Amino acid sequence: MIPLLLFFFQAADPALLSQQGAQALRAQRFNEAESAYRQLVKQDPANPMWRMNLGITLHSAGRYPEAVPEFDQFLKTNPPPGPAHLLLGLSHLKLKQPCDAIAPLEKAIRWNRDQAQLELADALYGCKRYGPAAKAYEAALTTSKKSPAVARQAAHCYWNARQYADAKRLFTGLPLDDPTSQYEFGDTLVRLDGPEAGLPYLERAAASLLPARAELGKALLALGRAAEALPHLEAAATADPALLLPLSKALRATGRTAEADAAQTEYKRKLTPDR
Amino acid sequence: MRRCSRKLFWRGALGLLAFSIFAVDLPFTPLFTGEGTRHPLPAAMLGGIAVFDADNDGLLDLYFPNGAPLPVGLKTSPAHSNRFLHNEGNLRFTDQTADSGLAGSGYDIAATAGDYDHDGLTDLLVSGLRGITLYRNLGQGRFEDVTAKVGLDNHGRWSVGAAWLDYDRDGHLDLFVVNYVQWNPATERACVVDGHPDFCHPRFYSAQPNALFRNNGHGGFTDVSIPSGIASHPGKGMAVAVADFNADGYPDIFVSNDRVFNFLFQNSGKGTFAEVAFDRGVAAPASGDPPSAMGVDAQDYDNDGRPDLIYTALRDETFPLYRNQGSDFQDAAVSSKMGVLTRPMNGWGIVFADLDNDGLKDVAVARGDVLSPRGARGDKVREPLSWFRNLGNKQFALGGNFAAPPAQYRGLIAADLNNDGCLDLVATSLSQPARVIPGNCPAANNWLKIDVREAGARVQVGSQSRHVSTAQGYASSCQCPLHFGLGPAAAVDVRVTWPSGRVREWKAAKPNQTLVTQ
Repeated sequence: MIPLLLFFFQAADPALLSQQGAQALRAQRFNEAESAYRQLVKQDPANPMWRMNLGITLHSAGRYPEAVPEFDQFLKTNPPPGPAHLLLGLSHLKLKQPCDAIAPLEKAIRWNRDQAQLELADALYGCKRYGPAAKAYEAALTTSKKSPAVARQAAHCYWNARQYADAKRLFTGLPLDDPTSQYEFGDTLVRLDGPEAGLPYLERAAASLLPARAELGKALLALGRAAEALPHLEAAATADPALLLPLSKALRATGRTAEADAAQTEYKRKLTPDR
Repeated sequence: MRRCSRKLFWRGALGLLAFSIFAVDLPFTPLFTGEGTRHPLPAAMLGGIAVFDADNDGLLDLYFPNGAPLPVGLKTSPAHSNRFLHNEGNLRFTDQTADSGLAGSGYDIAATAGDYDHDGLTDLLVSGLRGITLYRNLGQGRFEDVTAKVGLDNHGRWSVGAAWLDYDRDGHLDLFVVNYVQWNPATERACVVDGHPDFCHPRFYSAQPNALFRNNGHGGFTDVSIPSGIASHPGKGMAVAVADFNADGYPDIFVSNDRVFNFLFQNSGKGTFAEVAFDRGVAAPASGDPPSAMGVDAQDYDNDGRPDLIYTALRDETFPLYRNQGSDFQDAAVSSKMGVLTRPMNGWGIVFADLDNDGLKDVAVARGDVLSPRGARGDKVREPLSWFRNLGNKQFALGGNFAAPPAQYRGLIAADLNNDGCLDLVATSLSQPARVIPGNCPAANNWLKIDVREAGARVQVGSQSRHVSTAQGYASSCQCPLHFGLGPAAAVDVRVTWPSGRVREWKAAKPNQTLVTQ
């Protein structure tokens, strides 16, 4: 894509320096290309194309902090959606600034949805905006970047956004061969259809995921299977003090009253500071 | 099997018929939240309803507390006025606020009806941002502010509810006041939810204790919060339910708390209370995460003679339902299906009420997000009014949504406003008029109402029981005849037990009437 862009931006100004810059960039001689474009910016600061090409050079060289202001400068005079929005968004993503990537990528999808949709979803996900991220991933399933991994990511985001009906819809069509998906799908079913529905998936995930053991323990306890719940709650309560309450109920239900009292006391002590 | 299916089909069909009549907006200016450009927490907390017969004409009147501009919290316009609507019959109401003396002056949130001075006229306690106000009913629709005269002082604390109860069984109504959090507009932070300015989480506000005032029987009250043990438990109280949960003859007090452990104050009978929420299993749901507990109701939904508990919470927290087993409570959210049914809902007001007169108490809920419509969720903060059908096997099914527009509903009361034997609903919502949803229960089902106004009195009708409680749901109160659906029953035995132990019985009482006893 980048060579094509260079061709597009250079076609209007075929000066020698520009040709040198373009040739150097194609050959990945980034220092040489940078030098050419910096000279052009100095000689002809009113032409935003030189800033765009300088930005592309710096982005290609992995110098994202320096690329960002060049794209910003270019976009000040060329605001319509275009490739600079995509490259600016990608630079922010590389810099682990997903929240800053969202606005340019939202514009970029109006220029080329196929190129920018998945990147926008990644930015929203990185910014913890799970609901919009889920929708963006689902939209990416209609682009050339469609894959089971994207569908799984959409389901994962719906689960994070507590949009369980949508999570269930997407998980249902997936192979669910990893513990995280099994856990999230099991948890989704518990919430939508009750604890019995989620048990098979939580049991599979519990072998390797502590949060799955927590949900499995709570689901078993809710079904009156306190003895089965006990080992899972004991294991998970080491990481989450809120689980000390269901643990105390499971202990009490299995006749371990003194331990139940101790767990309840510990629960009160650990959760009271919220006041 | 076939017969059973057919029966279930007709139950479902009747469910669709019930409450298909459209809601009626009341002649009442919308609740004024005072939200402005910021998001001060009180703006999310309006507002309740009091339903009571102010002039003893046999028709239940309505009272709505209202807000004021924030941060000052003082009413500066008629648009901020609390509203007193007189019931003219046939679900017509006239605004008689101006002559009633009930307009109020501060940021008011809750109202609780009860005859504290035993003069046969129902009085009103109004709770609000800067304290409480007691209005004594003078008769003929006029009220007098007697707060200072009777010695009631909530020390400026933010109250969102109250209950009248006779905790020491001396025959005089005492007062329990639910206090929420400490709110200081000067130090309130600006919070962001999902990238948008919005109301802050309750963890950003400090807890405060509830209060108990003893009625000395001579027109005055004494603050007994400290000697009773109530003041030893700071919380973030949202609502209160009073019932004799352990059947020892003394009323106990359940307080739902926002994101901290709930309280169950067990009455010792000696003027003190022990906080036993953990011991009785109602401090937090079985999951261990204290939810955003909101409105609460306590009545016997499974007809085993013991008052059970249900309270609302926010989306994904589910509405906890506790079955009273005598010595403790069973978390019945999963077994009753209420957990799965309520998970997508944000709830405030909630009532146990037999909406179809089939002899089983259903559950009605006022829904609406706590977040601002100007925030990330936009219009999704508005939700419908919903109900859950009691299936009679300790389980509930979604009855559906009432024919009222989605809103940020808050207060909710079920009461027979037009005396047709069918419970109507009245609900408040933020920035919208209050609404009445006329009941439309199956004509084949009979009913019985028992008008006994003494808080704590317990009424048994056949296998059903109810007790008189002056606090209901969120910030609301109903000093109303106790309503029982009877299904096809042609006669029922009735037994009323007063807190004093006095009993009155009716053998084979005929249905479709109101029995009055004082």
